[in-house]
This record gives sequence, structure tokens and C-alpha cells, in this order.
Amino acid sequence: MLDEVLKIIPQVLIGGLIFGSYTGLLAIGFALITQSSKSINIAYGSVAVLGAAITTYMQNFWVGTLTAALLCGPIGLCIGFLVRRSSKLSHDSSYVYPLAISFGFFLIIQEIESNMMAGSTYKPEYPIGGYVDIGIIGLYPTYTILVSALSLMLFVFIWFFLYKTKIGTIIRASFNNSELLSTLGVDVTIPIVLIFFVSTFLSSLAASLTTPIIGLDVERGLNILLWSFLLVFLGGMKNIINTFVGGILLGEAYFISATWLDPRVVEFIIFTVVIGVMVIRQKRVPVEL
Amino acid sequence: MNTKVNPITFSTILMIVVAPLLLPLNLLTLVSAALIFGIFVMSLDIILGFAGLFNFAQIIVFGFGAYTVALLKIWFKIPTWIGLMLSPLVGLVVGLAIGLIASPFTKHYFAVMTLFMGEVIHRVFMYWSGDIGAESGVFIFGTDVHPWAIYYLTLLACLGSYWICRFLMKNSVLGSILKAIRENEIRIKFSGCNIEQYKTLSMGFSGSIAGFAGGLWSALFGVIDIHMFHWIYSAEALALNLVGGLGTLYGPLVIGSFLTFLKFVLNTYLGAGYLILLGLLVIISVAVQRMHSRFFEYTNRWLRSVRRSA
Repeated sequence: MLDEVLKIIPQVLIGGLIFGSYTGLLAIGFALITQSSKSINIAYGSVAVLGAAITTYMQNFWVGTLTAALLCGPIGLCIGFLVRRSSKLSHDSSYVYPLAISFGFFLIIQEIESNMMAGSTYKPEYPIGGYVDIGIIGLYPTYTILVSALSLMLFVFIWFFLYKTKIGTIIRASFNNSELLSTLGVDVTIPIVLIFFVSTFLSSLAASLTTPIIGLDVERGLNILLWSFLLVFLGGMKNIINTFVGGILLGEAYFISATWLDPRVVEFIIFTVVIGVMVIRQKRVPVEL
Repeated sequence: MNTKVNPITFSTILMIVVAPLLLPLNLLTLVSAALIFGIFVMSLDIILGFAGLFNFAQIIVFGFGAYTVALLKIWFKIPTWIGLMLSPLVGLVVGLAIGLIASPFTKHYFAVMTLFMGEVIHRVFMYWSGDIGAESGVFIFGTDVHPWAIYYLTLLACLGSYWICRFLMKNSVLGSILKAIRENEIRIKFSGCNIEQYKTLSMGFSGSIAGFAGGLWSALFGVIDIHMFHWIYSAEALALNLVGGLGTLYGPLVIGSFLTFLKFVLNTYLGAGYLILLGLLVIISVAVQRMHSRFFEYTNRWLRSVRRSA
């Protein structure tokens, strides 16, 4: 019994790391959008899954992935522009208008997706075959490891971009107080809309790349939104490192419990626990955007 | 003498008089269904229009109301009338329960929190619906209420719930505090008011209306399935609210009924595309910044001018 558990543990840990890395990547895009526009983008998961759906329709996986990401980027740009415009226009600082814009896009894209997929589940084969021998746990699919390595690289790239370059500093400053920044003579709209473009591009890329691993159905857009929101809420919005680490921890928790239980039950348990944690946290330390 | 005719009262009287002459029975069912969904949309207006909160879990209340009627009929052979009378109570309880959990949250967090709760409850019912006696939650039970009775009951419910909501929102403490929450939540909190209590109360109140709408829905069709808990209907109702005009009560009722009827027509001829239309309408109505739908303002002005000239 103990031997079996010791054998399973590294396998589960690495599985959780891999699952958590792309969940974290998706959550980072969500966190950036949320901070830059001070509004939650409800259409986030749907746009990402739209990219994945386009990829499954194309014959060539790699060309499809790039095309989908390039198609979804402008959609994100459009959402960002309208959200920015509506949040500027409202005289009271009402949050309803920006949220309603992304909500409208959410409805449109959801309908397109449900017509494209028609209630079925897709799981294409790995575009890169073969297995890698990792010492402790044995063989592991090459593609999965490549995808998680790519998402780690992208995370490092985003971190470098935000913390070490000048435009990144402007973007981080606009997260804190965009009005003050605009009085200092910095154009805030372009970085904010750019953030929407880049985040949507990355999320669509991540969703397309993980489709052979997780599979694709209509409900996945909502799943991405809920998991991202959960990570952003628990990990904190100001620090993307927290969000990414939170993603990996949650991936571990999900994988460890999914080895012994039905995954759907696990998801239900995680959601319920998180709702409890969120309620308690909100009562003790209220979170504001 | 003040002879102002309310558009809702006017159209209801019109429908009571005209309907028996024009409508065949199958069309009557569709009109009733559209009106029932309109009541549901209006119940959301109390939360979205007055308190300014996106409630994605309202469809859960609707589903509970519907299942109350159906399960009481199937399990205990209780007639549909009694189930219909119990469904607002069930809606009240479920609405209060959702409100208790979600009320500490504000703005965006409230929206995603209710989305979470709706999804969790929907999945629970999906996984365990086989255990309560039917495959994937489908129950077929014959209604023992005539469609005409449902139709008139629906019209009565439209009128009654509209006037109750209007009275409460205009004249009661609950209405004014909800508006204050929408305008500035932190300030009303500092003035010593327990806003969580009022949010919960408002959700219970709108839940009782939504529960009754759900009961009517299941009494009308005699068939229910687990899809009734799906969040997409909440999203639809919220979008109809945004299109109809927030905080007007009659806007969501009329626009909700009308567009739902359009949806039935579209579904028969096109198969899909209703949500695309709805999303475009939401984006346009927000981008053009006409939250209080100008359409109804113009109609009111027109009615007034007609009365003046007469």
C-alpha cells in the first residue's frame, strides 16, 4: 500500500504541475484584463474556446492554432475598445455598462460555439507523438510536457515584459491609477486595449494547444472563466506570480483528488469549498477591484 | 381627475379581451410561455435594475418552482393547483438561501459568485438526476389545468406582480435602500444600514415571483427537464433586462415577452441565432447609452399627446 502511494505521488505531482501551468497561464490573461479595464471580462473563456473550436475545424493543427489566435485577438481588441469606451462614457462610475458589453459578446460567441460543436465532445490526437522517459514516473507524452514548458516560458516572458520594460511599467502604473497617469501625459487607452489583444491571443493559443490534452465541449468556456476567476480571487490580482503559483497549487489539489475520485465530483467539491472560502474571506477582508 | 392609463394595464386588458377571438390553442401556449418568461425577466429587474447586481442564479429559483409542481404531482398525486400555490413559497426559500450566500459580495464578484452557485447546483442536479426517478431529469406528467386557465392566470400574474413590484419599489424602504445600494454601496453601509439583509430580502422577494413563473411554466407544458437549471437562461433574462430598460419594470416585462415569442418563431424557422440577436441588441443598447429604453419614453410621450388631443 505504502509503496503504491509512494509510486503514485511523483506522478500526481508532475501531472498537477502540468495541469496547473496552463490553468495559471489562462488565469494570468484574465487577471491582466481585469486589472486593466477594472471590469470582469465574462466573454474571456468563450473567446478562448472559440479559438480552440476553429483549430479543430482546420486540417493542420499548427496552422489552425495560429490562425485561430490571430482571429481571436481582434475580437478581444473589439471587446477592449468597447469596454473602455463604455466605462469612460458612464457619468456615474457604474460597473454595469462595461460588464454588459462583455456579456453581450459572451452571448454571441456562446451561440456560435454551440452551433459549431452541436453538443459533441472533441479530443483530437496529439500533434506530436512519442513519449519521454522521466526517471521516477516512467513514460510521459512529449506533447504534454512541451505544452507545459511553453506555458512556463510564456509566463516568464509576461513577467519580464511587465516588470522589466518601460511599456510594462506604464501598464502596471495604469492598473493602479489610470487617471493620474493620463494627467501625467501618458496615453493610457492604447496599452489597455493592447492588453486585451495580447491576453485574448494568449488565451486562445493556450486553449487550442490544450485541446488534445483536455478535450473540447461547449461548457469548457464557462469552466475556463470560473477557474480563472477562482485563481484571481484567491491568488490576488496585483501580483501575477501569485496567480501562477495559485494555479499550480490548485492543479495539484485537483490532480491528487482526481486520482481517487470521480473528476466531476472533485470539481464539485473544489467549487463548493472555494465558495465557502470566498464567503468567509469576503466577510473578513472584503476584496475590491 | 387623473386618467393616466398604465401601458401594462392597458395591454393586459387588451389581451384579455382580444385573445379568445384570435388565438388558436397552439399559439395560445406559445403566448403564455412568452408571458411567463416575461414575468421571470421582470423578477430579475428588481435585482439588476434597482440593486444593480447581476444575478446569474435566478434560473435556479425558476427551476425549483417548476420542479415543485411536477414532483408534487408525480410523487404525492397532489393537484397542480396546490403545487402552483406552493411554488412562490419554494421560490422565496431558495431565493433567500442564494441571497444569504451571495449577499456579502458586491458588483463583479456578485455576478461571478452567482454564476458559480448556479453552475454548482446545475451540475449537482445533472449528476444525481438519475436517482430521483427519471433519466436526465425529464419528467412527463399531464397537467390537469386547461391552457385557457393558465393563460388567464399568467395575465393575472403579470399584472399582479408588476403592480406589487412597482408599489414596493416606489413606496417602501426596501425599494429606496436598493436604489441607494445601486448608487453608492459603501456610503449606505457607513450610514448604518445592514445592506446584506436588504439584498437577501430583495432576492427572496424576486425569487418568489420567479418561483411562481417556474410553476406556471411546468403547469403549462406538463414536461420538465434538467435543462431548466442551465445558466444560459439566466443570461438570456439578464440580456432582456438590459435591452428592455433597467429599473422600469414594464420594459423587461414587455420586451422579455415579445423577444421570447420571437425566439420561438426563430427557433422553428432558423434553428438558431436568437442569442446572437440578443447579444447584438445588448451591445448596441449599451454602446449607444440608452439604458432606460427610449422606445418606451417615446411611446409614453405619444400616448400622452394622443390623450391631450382627444
